[in-house]
Amino acid sequence: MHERHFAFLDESSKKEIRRAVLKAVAIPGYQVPFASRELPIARGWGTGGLQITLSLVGKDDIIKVIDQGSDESVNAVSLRNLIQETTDVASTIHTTEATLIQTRHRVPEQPLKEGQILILQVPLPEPLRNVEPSEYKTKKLHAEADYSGAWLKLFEDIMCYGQAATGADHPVFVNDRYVMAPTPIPRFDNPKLDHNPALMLFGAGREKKIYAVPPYTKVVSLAFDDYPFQRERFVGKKCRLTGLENVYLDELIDEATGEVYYQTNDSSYLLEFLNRDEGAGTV
Amino acid sequence: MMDDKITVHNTQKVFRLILQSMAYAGRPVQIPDEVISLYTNSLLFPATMEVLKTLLDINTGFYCGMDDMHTIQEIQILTSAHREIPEAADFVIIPGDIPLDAMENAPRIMEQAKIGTIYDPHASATILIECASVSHGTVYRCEGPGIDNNIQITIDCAWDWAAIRRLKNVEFPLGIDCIFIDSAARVLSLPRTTRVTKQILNEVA
Repeated sequence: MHERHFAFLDESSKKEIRRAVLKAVAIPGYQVPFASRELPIARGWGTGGLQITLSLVGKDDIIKVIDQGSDESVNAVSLRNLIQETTDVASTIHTTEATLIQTRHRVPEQPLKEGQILILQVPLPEPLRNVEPSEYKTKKLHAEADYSGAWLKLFEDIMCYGQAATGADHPVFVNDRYVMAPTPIPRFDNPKLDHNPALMLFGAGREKKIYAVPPYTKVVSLAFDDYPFQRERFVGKKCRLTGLENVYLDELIDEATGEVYYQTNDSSYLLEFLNRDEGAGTV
Repeated sequence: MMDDKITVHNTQKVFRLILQSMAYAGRPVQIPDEVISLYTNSLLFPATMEVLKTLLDINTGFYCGMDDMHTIQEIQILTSAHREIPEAADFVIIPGDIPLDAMENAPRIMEQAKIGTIYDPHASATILIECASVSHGTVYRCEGPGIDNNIQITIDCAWDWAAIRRLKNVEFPLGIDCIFIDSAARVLSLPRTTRVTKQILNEVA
């Protein structure tokens, strides 16, 4: 039988990624370059997050993989299968049980705790890319902490639309030094990055960058004093199944009736809430 | 070539402990005995050798603050890393059990370590400092990322690392990241973001 490496990557690759992760933790928000490896999935489909997960995972870990809040989407299932086939580690849908959580576009509703590691897949790690196409120049702008372009973009949004037009990936200031792309998480999740007790790692496979927000680190969403940062608002809306109002909601349309309804986006949180209610009802 | 499975799992465990210590700055972690091998040719702590085995490879340069060739060769055989001068080394090792005259050199070695550039602050040295203990000794107060408000740490080290570290880390994001290792295989990390202040009550029982 063909023997393969534990967690797919060879040890030399893991070492390089591990060193990059340590430097990323030591310099919060700074994009550490790394030699992104070829994987059996295409670049742009979570290879950055996957390489971090594969470099960190051990036999005792319990992994959770989510994609836009769902444990059961095709992408989440494929990534989880690859991790499990090459490691035999346990998996869970419950946020509290997981030691490593790989995610795309969401931070779980369930608050994270110390010792957990959240690994976010990053499509575009450079928060200044839409104001400066040159990588050489954005690197210089970060070095000199020249973030006037990011502020100008925000100012233009307010001039044009009366508010920040970033639906997701609203840039954040990390530890009062680096402006960072929080990945396309909704603005609803941005405050969860601030002083979170868990370690958060960000991997961009196509762009070959790793960055991090250590636990208990100050993370502030970019905003002006007279135009404060705002999360998505769900005023008067609640989850059709749970009645929850303080969670991120998906807007859905009933194809039969055309009726618009809302549902909790984090599928495991939704299930846990429903099961908890059922359990309470049977006692 | 496949690495042997015991090494693969042991280095994974050691890395996660180092990552935990770097993420939760100032909190000591314990490398368990079962992942520590015997290194008969090395004068360094076995735990230090495990950290080196976990992080170093052919792409990294190291400087070891002792002249013992057996130790240096053991590191090279174990990791394939190459020797470097202190100014260029990615990993600088400051041994704990070295002669007194060499101990005077420890601050000088740390002073020479590279701090990266404003464009590439990650191109800086990680300093591995062997010390008597990371659970008793001089008391320091630490603040910064990875720490909930502040934390008190105690480190028993024969030389004044804190003053030199402060000078090296004066211009964030430039700086050095320190990993303290004691003879009981405990590891405590201080990334460059941690602000360290020596407490007036120096010694604790």
